[in-house]
Amino acid sequence: MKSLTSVIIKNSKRQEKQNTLKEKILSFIAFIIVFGFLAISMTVLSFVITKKLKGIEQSYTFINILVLMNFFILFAKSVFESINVLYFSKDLKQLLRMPINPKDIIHAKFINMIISEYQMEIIMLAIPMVVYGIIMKVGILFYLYTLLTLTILPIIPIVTTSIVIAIIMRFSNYLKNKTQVIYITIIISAILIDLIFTGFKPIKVTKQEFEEAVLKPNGLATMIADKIELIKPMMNTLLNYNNEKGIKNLSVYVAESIGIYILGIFIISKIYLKGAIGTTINSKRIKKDNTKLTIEDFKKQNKIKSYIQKERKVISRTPIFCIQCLLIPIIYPIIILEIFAITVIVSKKLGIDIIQNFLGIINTSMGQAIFIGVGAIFFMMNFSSIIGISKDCKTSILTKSLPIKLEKQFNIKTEIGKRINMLSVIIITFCYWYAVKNLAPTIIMFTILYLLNSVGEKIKLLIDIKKPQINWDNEYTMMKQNTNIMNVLFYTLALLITLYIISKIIKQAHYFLATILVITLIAYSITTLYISKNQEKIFRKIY
Amino acid sequence: MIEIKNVSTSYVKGKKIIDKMNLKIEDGTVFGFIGPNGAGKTTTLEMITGVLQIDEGDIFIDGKSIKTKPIEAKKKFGFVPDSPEMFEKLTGLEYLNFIGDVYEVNPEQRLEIVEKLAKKFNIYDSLKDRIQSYSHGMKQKLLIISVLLYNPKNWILDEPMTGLDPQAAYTLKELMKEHSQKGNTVFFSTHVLEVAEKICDKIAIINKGKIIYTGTVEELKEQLKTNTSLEESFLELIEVEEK
Repeated sequence: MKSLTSVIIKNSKRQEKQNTLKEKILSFIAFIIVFGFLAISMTVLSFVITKKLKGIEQSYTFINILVLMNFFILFAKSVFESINVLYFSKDLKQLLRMPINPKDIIHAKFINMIISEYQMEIIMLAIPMVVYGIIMKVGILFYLYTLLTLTILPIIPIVTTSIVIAIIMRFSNYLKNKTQVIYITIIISAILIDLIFTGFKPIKVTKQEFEEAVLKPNGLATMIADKIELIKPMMNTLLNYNNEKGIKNLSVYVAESIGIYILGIFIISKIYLKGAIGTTINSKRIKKDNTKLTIEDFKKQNKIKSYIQKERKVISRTPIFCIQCLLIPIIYPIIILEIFAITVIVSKKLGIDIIQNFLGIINTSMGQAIFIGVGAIFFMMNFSSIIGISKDCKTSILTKSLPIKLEKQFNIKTEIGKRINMLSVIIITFCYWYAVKNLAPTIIMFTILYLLNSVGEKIKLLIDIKKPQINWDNEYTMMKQNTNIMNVLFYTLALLITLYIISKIIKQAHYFLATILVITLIAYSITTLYISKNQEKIFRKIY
Repeated sequence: MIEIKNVSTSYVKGKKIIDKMNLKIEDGTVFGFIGPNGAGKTTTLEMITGVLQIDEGDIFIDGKSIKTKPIEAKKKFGFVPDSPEMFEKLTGLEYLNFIGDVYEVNPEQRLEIVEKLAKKFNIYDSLKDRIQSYSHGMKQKLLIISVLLYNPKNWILDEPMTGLDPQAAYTLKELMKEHSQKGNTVFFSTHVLEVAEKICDKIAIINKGKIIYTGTVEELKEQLKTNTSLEESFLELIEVEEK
C-alpha cells in the first residue's frame, strides 16, 4: 500500500523531459519568487484586515471567510481532481491489470489528492491564521489546533466529492462518450455538493440576526460557522481554542473526517471497478443508419478556417480546457460590465453621478492605466494560447509535418485566445467610452487593447512552445502542473508595473495614451517579426 | 524519390544521433528501414518529415529540400507516425475532413477514398465517433486512411503494422505493393523482419545512427555467404558491427 501510494504520487508529478541543472535552479527560483510574492501579499492583507476587524471585535471573521472560501474552492477543484485521478488517469489501465485491492488504489489516490492541496492551504489559510495568532497573542494550543485542522481539511471535500462521482461513474457505460460523462458528472456533483455543503437547508440571514452578530465579539464569525453545517465543527474548534468547546468541536471534526474517509473507501471500493472499467472501454457506437457517409459529410473548407475550427473543437470538447479557455475569460468581463452597470444605475437612483465623481481619476494617466491594466488582467485569465501546443499532447509533433507554414500555424494557435479576448476589449472600450464620452481617445484605447491582446497571446504561445508539456497523463494534470502558466503571471505583473511607472512619468492622459500606443505598436511589430524570422527555431522543442 | 544526403543530427550538442547518413530511395520501390531499438529509425523518419531539425546535410523529397522548401516538400509525402496520437476530441470523420482541407482534396474524392478504405479496414461504422473511443489499431487505421486520402507520391511509415489486426496488416501490405508498382515510393521502418523480407524491394539496416547495409535481402545473404532467413542475417550483421 505504502509503495503504491508513493508510486502514484511520483507518477502524478510532471513527466516532461529531464531538465538541466540550470533549468532546475531557475524554476526553483521562479517558484520561490511566486510563492514568496503570494505569501507576502497574504501576510500584509491578513495583517491589515485582522487589525481593522480587531478594532470592532470581529477579528476572527476574516479567518472564517477564508476557511469558507477555501472549502468551497476545494469542493469545486475536487470535482475535476476526482474525475481525473480516479477515472481518467493513464495509470488506470495498468493498475486495473494488477492484483491490487480497489481499496488500496482508492486509498493511495486519496492521499495523493490530499497532499496536493497543502500548497494552497499554506498560502490561503496557514499564513492568515499565524498572522491572526500573532495579532491576538493566542496560546500554543491555537497553533496546534490550526495544524491539526488544516491537515485534515481536504479530506471532507475530496472524499465527499469522490463518493458522488463514483456513484455517477458507476453508470457511465450508458453514456456515449467520455466528455458527456465529465459534463454530466460536473453538473450533478455541483448540485449534490451544494446540498451537502449547506446541510440540505437554504442559507438565510435575517436583518435581526446580522445586527445581533455585529454587536457580539466575533459574532459574525460565529454566525457564518452556524450556517454551514459541514464545517461548523472545524470553524468552532479554532474559534473556541481556549475553552472546552474547542476540544469538543475538534473531536467531532476529526471523527467526522475519519468517518467520511472510511465511508468513502468502503462505498467507492464497492463500485469503483465497474465505473473505472467503463471509462477505459470503447463507447457505444451510434445507430447504424447514422453512419452512412454522404457527400454532405465532406464539405471543403479553407485550410486555415479548418485548422481554427479544429482548435476550437479540441478546446470546447475538453471540459477543463473549456472552463479555463472559454468560460472564465467570457464570464469575468461580463461580471465586470454588470458591476459597472449596476453601480451606474444605483448611483443614479441615489442622485449621485458616479462617473462625474470619478472623472478626475479617469482623466489622469493613472486612470487610463487602470483601464489598460484591467484588460491585461482579463487577458491573463485566458489560457487558450498558453496551452496552445501542450493541449494537443503528442499530436503537436504530427502537425509539424503538415504543409502549412509554421508561422501560420503559430498565428492560428493564438486565434482562439485573441477572439475570446475581444469580448474584454469591447467591454472595456465601452466602459471607457461611457466614462470619457470622447471618440478619439476611445479609438486609441481600443487599438491599444487590441494590440496588447495580440502581443499577449503571441507571448503566451511563445512561453508554451519554449517548454511544451506534451507528455501528459490527463488534461487536468497538465493544467495543474503547467509551470508555464506561472510565467503568464510574471508577464502580466511586468506589464502592470510598466504601466504604473509610465503613468508616474507621463502625467498627462493624452500623452500617456499616445506613448502606450507607440509602445504596443513597437511590441506588436517586434513579436510578429521575431516569429516570422525564427519559425523553425521556435518550433524546435516539439519532437 | 527520397534522398538523404550527408545528414547528421544531435539532440545534445556534440552527441550525434544520426551521423553523416546517405540514403537514396528510388521511385517504384518498397524500402524497408531496419534496426534495433534506439538505432535512429524514428529520428531519421522525423528528419525526413520536418519534425526534427537537421544539423548537417539535407533531405530531398522529389527534389524538394525539407530544409529550404519545407512546405513544398511536405506536400510530397504522407506520414504515419509510430504512435497513433491524434486529436482525440475530433470524430474520425472530422479528422479526415481536416486533413482533406489541409491537402485540398475535393469532397467527391474524399467520399470515394474514405468509403473504400474505411470499409476495407473495417472502421466505417466508427467514423462518426470520437477518436478517443477508438482502440490503438483503429487509430492506426484512421491515420493510414488520412494519408491515403490525398494520395501522396511518397509514403513514409513508422512501424505501420504495430497494433493492426492480421486482416488490416495484409490490406496495408497489399496497398504498399500496389503503390510502389504505380511508380511511387514506400519507405517504412519495421522490426518485423518477416514483413521486410516479404514485401521489400530493398532494405537499409541502421545501427547506432549509421547505415551499415543498403541493398536487397538476397544481396545481404550473398554478402554474408549464408542462406538463412533475414532475421539471422540481420543478427549476424549487427554482431559483426558490435565487434
